[in-house]
Amino acid sequence: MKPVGFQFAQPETLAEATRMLRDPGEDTKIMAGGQSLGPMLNLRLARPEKIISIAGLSELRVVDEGADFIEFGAALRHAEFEDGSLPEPIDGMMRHVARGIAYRPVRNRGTIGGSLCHADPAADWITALTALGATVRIVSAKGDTRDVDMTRFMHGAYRTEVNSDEIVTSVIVPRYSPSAVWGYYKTCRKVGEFADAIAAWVADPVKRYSRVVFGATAGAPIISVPLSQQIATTGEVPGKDVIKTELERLAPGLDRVKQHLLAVALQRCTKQALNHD
Amino acid sequence: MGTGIGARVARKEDARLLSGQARFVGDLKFPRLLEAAYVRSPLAHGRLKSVTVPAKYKDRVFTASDLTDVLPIRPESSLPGYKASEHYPLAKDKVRFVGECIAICVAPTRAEAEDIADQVVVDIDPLPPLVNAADAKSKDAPLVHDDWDDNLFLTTTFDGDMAFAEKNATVVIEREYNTARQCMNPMEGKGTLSHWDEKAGQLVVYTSTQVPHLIRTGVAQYLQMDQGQVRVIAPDVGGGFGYKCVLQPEELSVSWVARKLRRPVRWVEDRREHLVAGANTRQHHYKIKAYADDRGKLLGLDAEITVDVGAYSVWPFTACLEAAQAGGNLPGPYALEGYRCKTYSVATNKPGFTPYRGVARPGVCFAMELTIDAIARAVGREPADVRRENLVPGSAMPYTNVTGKFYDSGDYQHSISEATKAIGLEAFRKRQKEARAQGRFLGLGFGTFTEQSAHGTKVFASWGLPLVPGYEQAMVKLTPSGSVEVRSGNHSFGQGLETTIGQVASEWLTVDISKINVVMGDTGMTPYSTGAYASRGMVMAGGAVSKAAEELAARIRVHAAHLLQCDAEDVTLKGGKAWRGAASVDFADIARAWYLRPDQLDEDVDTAGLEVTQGYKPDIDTGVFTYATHAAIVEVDAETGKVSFEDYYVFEDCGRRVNPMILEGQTYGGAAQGIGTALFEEVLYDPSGQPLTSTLADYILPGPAELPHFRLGHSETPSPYTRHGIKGVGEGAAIAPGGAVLNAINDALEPLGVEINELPATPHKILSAIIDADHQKEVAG
Amino acid sequence: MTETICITVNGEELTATVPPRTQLAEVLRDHLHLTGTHLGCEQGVCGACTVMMDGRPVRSCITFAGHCDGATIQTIEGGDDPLGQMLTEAFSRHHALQCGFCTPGMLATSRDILTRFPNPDEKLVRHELSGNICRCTGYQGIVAAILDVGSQIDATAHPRTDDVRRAVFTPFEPDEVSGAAPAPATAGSVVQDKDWTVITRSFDLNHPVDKVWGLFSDVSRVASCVPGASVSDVSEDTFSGTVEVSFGPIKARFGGQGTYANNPQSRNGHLSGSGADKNGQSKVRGELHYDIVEKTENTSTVDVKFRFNIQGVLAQFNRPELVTGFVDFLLQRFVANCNSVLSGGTASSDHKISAFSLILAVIKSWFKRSKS
Repeated sequence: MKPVGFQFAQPETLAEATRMLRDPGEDTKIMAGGQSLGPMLNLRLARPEKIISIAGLSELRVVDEGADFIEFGAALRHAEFEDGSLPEPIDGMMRHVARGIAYRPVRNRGTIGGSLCHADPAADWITALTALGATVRIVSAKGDTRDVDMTRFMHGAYRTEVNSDEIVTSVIVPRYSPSAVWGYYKTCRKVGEFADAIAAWVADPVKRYSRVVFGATAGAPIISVPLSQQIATTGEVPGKDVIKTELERLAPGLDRVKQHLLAVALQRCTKQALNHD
Repeated sequence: MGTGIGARVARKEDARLLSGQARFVGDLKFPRLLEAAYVRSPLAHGRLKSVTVPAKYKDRVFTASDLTDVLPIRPESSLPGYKASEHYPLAKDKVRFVGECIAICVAPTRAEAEDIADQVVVDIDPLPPLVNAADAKSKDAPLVHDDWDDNLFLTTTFDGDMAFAEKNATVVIEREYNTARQCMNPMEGKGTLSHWDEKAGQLVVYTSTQVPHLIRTGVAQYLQMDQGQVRVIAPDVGGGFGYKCVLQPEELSVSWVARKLRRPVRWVEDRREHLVAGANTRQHHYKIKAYADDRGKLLGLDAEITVDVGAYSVWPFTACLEAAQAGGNLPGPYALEGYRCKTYSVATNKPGFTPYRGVARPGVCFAMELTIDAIARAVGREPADVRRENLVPGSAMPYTNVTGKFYDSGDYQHSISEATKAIGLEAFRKRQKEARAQGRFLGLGFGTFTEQSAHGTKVFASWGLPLVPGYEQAMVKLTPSGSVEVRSGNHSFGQGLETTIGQVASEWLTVDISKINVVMGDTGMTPYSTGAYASRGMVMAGGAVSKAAEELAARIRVHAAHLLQCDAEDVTLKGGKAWRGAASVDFADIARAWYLRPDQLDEDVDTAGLEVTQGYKPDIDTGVFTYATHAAIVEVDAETGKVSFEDYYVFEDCGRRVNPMILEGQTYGGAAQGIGTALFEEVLYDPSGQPLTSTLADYILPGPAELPHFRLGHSETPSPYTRHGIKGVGEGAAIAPGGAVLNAINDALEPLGVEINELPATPHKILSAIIDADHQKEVAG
Repeated sequence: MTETICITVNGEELTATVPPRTQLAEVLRDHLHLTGTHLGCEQGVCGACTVMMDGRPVRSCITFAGHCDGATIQTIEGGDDPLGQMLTEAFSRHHALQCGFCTPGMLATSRDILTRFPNPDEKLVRHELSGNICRCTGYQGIVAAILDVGSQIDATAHPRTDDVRRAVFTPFEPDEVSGAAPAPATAGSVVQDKDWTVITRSFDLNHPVDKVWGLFSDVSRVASCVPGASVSDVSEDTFSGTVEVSFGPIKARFGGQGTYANNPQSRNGHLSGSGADKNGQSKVRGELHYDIVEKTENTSTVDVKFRFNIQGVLAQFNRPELVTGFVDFLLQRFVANCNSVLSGGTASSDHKISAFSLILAVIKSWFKRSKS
């Protein structure tokens, strides 16, 4: 099980990388950490002619701490988040999420930007960063930069806002106040495997922010405005039936077991956030 | 104690494996080596119309039209009604499962071989696929094999007297059970490297196998060569579990290409190939009607067992070993008078059935143990009690059961008593009640089994197989420097046989195991053995080594007597020396005399020398029966369907323990695989017969966080019929977890009205059942 | 194309000239002859190939040569440092290996666990070890060996805390949350009918029914609305063509033939086709039935029923939920393209339909039909 032959380019600067994308050709693929692409290459499901590796770009490995946000370079690795070596916009959440991604050797190479761009519905960052109200910064071959809100970033399974001549350079996460709370819960058949259901809730009384997100569905993460509202105003774990009714509205036709698991995940992540454990 | 039988010695195998110096098939280096990749069938069933090879690869790609001098693998059986299948190593005319080999492509690297395979175009006319046994059994089903009149490899009937049971039963339990198709997943897949040795005039086949001497026979037979022209070497083998105890079609096609090109050719199975084309085991369906009295005493059992055996019979065991074993073993350790059983071995468009650790018994144990618990629930008694009362009592040993199995020794009831004690049954029931009050679902389940191990000549002959194991041979030799060399044609692929048969030699010869060199797996260097399967390695190879070492010890004493100037009867062996009272002579001196200084030998020395080969069979051919009780405490998360372990205890008796450490390792590993069967492992097919579980992200193997910390207890009831009282142990622990774990789940979920009768009990299945039960309650309420 | 990489392996500086597709494991095994590193799955799951790269464990099966230039690698052959020795001795003592095939990766992960978590407990070891599969031992000896070594080494270095400070929550009235509404689900269903997946969908087009029928009855035009499809040959009732689809990094191109028929009176029709990728490793069959009805004077409703079956490599994955999402995505694109074409514009120039394999098949048939 070996990949098809491909050319490999490792640009040394972001400018060089974007230059390469001016005429990317049909089958050029950007590789960040390569931990999802790697297996697809070995299985010959992905058959690119050329791979541009951006994991080593120093511009993509910086952290910029603003007063209201932290900007994380797209090539920062899951393990770096897990180890607490990076500043935290909300205490512990990104550490917690990172620790649950696959396995340590994968986290040592996989990157936050790569994970977002791969856009597997069952992946963690997609859902977590949606709950955190993050923004993705994208640079194009022409050098234009645009920011895309996470709510619009993922179009569906393996589909995102990023065009073939663009690179995600960073993720900008708002800072939360000390009174903010978060919960993140996923069910997996086995430690490190694809999630069957994910739910996240982030709430900050100071910012008057509350967001409930469901992940590991058929496509992009699903935000529930009514549940965000309800949990914030009541401070209570919502009932399963309430959540299921809302899921019926948001994602009609969802498999009943999936729906049930999403409801349980939300209850548990809310409990976690509310210290009801 | 030294390093003989019963010693907990570290393994001889470890040093090379822990330093990266082991040699698996994939590690071998040969000049001019070509690596192979296969073009495999993308369809489950179809007529192969054409295989188009680009002209530039004509001498790098081979198909059935090239392999004209290779016979199809056609395992025969003399069982009445058995139908033989023909499996061409490269498909000819028809493909019968996804992953069946169609063409072999060779190149200097695997990647380049895959590049070539990508350019071979296959044209297949699809035929309706048979994806499950029920469809394949139906009247108008399409035929997997065109020259058959149905899709049944074999039907067997055991028609015992059920009249008493039917008349006297106060409780009748009816259930259907299913086990999933599985994939054995040794961490090293199959692998074969063949080359033509001009000097020896031999095809040398390095292959990842459990049965090197069998493979030699198979390769010679199907490539139409003399056995003298074939040498098979099993190097380090990364796990087998049964997967590597049959002749693989790839062993034939790789060998054919190597012979044709006169170049070394290697194929190493990758995980995807394994999960697709190697998905070949475990799939059973049971229909059971059990009769019991109001105490839960089993009076009779009426069963129909259908095994979905896939498209082809494997050589040499055929597709029917599974059902034959299932029908014969269903009553298991229970004393049962009435028994009726019909089995069907049904051909489908899936890979051909291969015996996996426990062969049939994980299925029958699961069905039987769930039935026992269902009876216990029906009569309102503790399952452990009902189970104990139904077991064959120790006082009845040896015992011949309703299907004619000869249980040689043991006390089955003792195992359940010990397990009940160790798991803390009474305390658990209390905790369970408290937990339920808090909305937590704890459950306790037992699984008891008896495992026929090292079944011999008569048993295999009764299955009508063409290749029946007989006398296992081994050679034991004193080297010129006084160390010991053991040669066995059996093979070690993780079970530590190099160590344990070394211990047997150490026992007789009193030489420390560090001075015992064990050579296995090379037909050119070892005496004939049918190999390692059916938990026979320790019983058979250990027995043969024992016999040879005993004889060698006798000869050493004779030589020593000459050097010590006494009678052989006065010589004792200890610490690698021969002693007469306080005087001793080193084995090195004895060996030196024989090999280097024959001038020191007695005039009438025994010319047989210090190299002994012996053949061995136990005193009975019917196998020796290991037994155990597994007890599991689980918690079921009723909101997610996830099962976690609170405790897992195994009490087992496998006769005399040669190396307790290795034996415990076999039990942990077997139980872990059994839990994989119970909770995780399942090859899924879509209705076209496409396997959906082609990666390890789809086919879930249990990891350390999903498995319990196992606790073990042992008793030792030596078999009266084997050397040292040894019984087989390799397969046993994989048998009971399905029953124990599902009984625990069903015990946990009883308040919810949920009963799971299907393996694996995935969170999805459990949760679906809970949601259904909930829904029904709502409807009813 | 090859490239020369310099790597330091077990303290030795080495070079290898290899094609970029070469896995790190292959560099080690085939080029540097260090066969102690094993390939167990090449899917990044089993962990047998785990080696230390610049002091951290990585999967050498999904780390490619280009990433290794300048790296420092430690394999099982170089595991004779004090920690390595303690581990190998403990592995043997606790019977932490049987066949030994997973052992190289187990040792690398053990080393990493003990480096990050001095003196860990059993629960943590089992969790951290989850990325390595052992099929023989049930992990019991491995866990025991790690715990044993862990208890022997200095636990005072880098105590680790996973404590999260959790605020006490005070309920509040949030601002309006700008949760982007999910794309409205399309009405319809997905069911399995024997070996066919049948998807029914209904969508509206903002054009009068005759105009819409005009589009649907012209195979070539409607094909232009199907992302990734092209029709090469259209006769009165047959067509041939290709569909190219991509689903994330997965791309596939199918070629095939089909038939179609239209009934102008009832404004419905169907087409069916089958095809294969270039070496026959994936096969698709598909049928499309469509029925166009007037909704209002200026709008129409299109009811479609796709039946498709895909076999081969692309069908062999167990993520069925992804298919539905993909179908709806395609439909949205198709509908948008139809609206655009009906308004006198052109279909989006996207060459490839983002489609999962199954869906790809569907699309193909769809395209072909539309063109005719």
